[in-house]
Amino acid sequence: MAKSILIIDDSASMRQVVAMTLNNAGYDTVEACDGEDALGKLDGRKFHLMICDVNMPRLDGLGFVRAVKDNPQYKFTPIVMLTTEAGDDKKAQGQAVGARAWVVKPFQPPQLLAAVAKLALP
Amino acid sequence: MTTPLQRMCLRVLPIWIRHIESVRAQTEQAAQALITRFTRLSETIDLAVEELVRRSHEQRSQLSELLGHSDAQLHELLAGLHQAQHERDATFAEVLELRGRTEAMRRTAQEVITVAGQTKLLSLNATIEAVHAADYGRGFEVVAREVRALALRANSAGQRLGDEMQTVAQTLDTAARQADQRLARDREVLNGADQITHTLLSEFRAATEALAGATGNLRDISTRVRTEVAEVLVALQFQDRTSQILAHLSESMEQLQTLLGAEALDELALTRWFDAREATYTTAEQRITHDRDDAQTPAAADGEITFF
Repeated sequence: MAKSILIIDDSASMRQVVAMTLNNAGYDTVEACDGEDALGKLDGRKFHLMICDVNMPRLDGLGFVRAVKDNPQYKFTPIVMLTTEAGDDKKAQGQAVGARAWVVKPFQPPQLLAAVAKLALP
Repeated sequence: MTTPLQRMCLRVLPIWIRHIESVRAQTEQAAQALITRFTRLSETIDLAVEELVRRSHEQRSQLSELLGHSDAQLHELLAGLHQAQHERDATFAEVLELRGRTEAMRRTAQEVITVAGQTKLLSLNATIEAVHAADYGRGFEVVAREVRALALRANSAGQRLGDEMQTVAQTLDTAARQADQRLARDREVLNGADQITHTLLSEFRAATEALAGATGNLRDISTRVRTEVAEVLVALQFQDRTSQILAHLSESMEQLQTLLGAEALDELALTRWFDAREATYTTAEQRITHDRDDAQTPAAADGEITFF
């Protein structure tokens, strides 16, 4: 069975690009338009990994990671931050809240897929 | 009390913000439409190639089956022709042997003629001796006459047998010559059939392999198209970055509008607003552009990955 990945980004075009990259590599994807929307998708189904933007309305990426780490069912699901933020301070914040990797947009599909393959739950 | 410049800014800033939001919305819609179309295009090409490959695979299977079937049938046919050729060769050998025997029979007929001649001479001598014996030899003379008559008949029979064997030998010679010529032609035709069969089967096999090669090429083309489309879609990520930059610009202009709309212009607040701009940037190129006064656009950073 294909691994399932949750994509969280307020840009519909970015969600499409990420989804296509992952789908072509054989992953199943679920999309959410911001952190709040993504929390609604955590309804018991298994996600092998989450890819999350940082700057989003309602609930941003760092807030979403914090919320996931407080959720016993999903606290061990690895989260990759995919963002235009390239500053070290932001990266440090991502690491502090529990993200496993930081990818700066625009991403290269092979690099993103390598990160996903490395971090996704079995 | 607001200055004319403030009033003009307050008029123009909302318009610029609306323009920026309009541009953001248009690029977002256009990028989404492009991504959707490229995705569909890629999927359509994949489906078309898969269908072509599936059909090609079916055709290859059918051709391989046909090739195997034809190969077996043609070789069976050729084996039958070679067998018939061997049988004709054997018949020809028998004809040659028969031709050899007619010669022996002709010599036997000649021997019969010789014996008949000698018998005739012997009967003549016996007749002479019978005459010398006068009355005592009359009975013997009759026997000698009968022996001579038998010798003459034997000579005639030997003559006829010899003539018949000569005719048979000539007929067999003619038949053997014709058979030899026919066998040579048959061998030539059979060799040609072998060659043509081999050539046809080789060409058929090559055509089947060429079909397999074409299928492989189709898959390569499909892979290249998918890669190209993926690269196009990745390139369209520019929209996300420009959208974020425009969003920050729009937000900054809204804040400036608020500051300029105050009853009294607070220069300190304006300075704080200006100084805070850099802290709000999210992209590397925003920071680079902020510090540079030339008009060149810096390249976007590529997708570096940091693992924690």
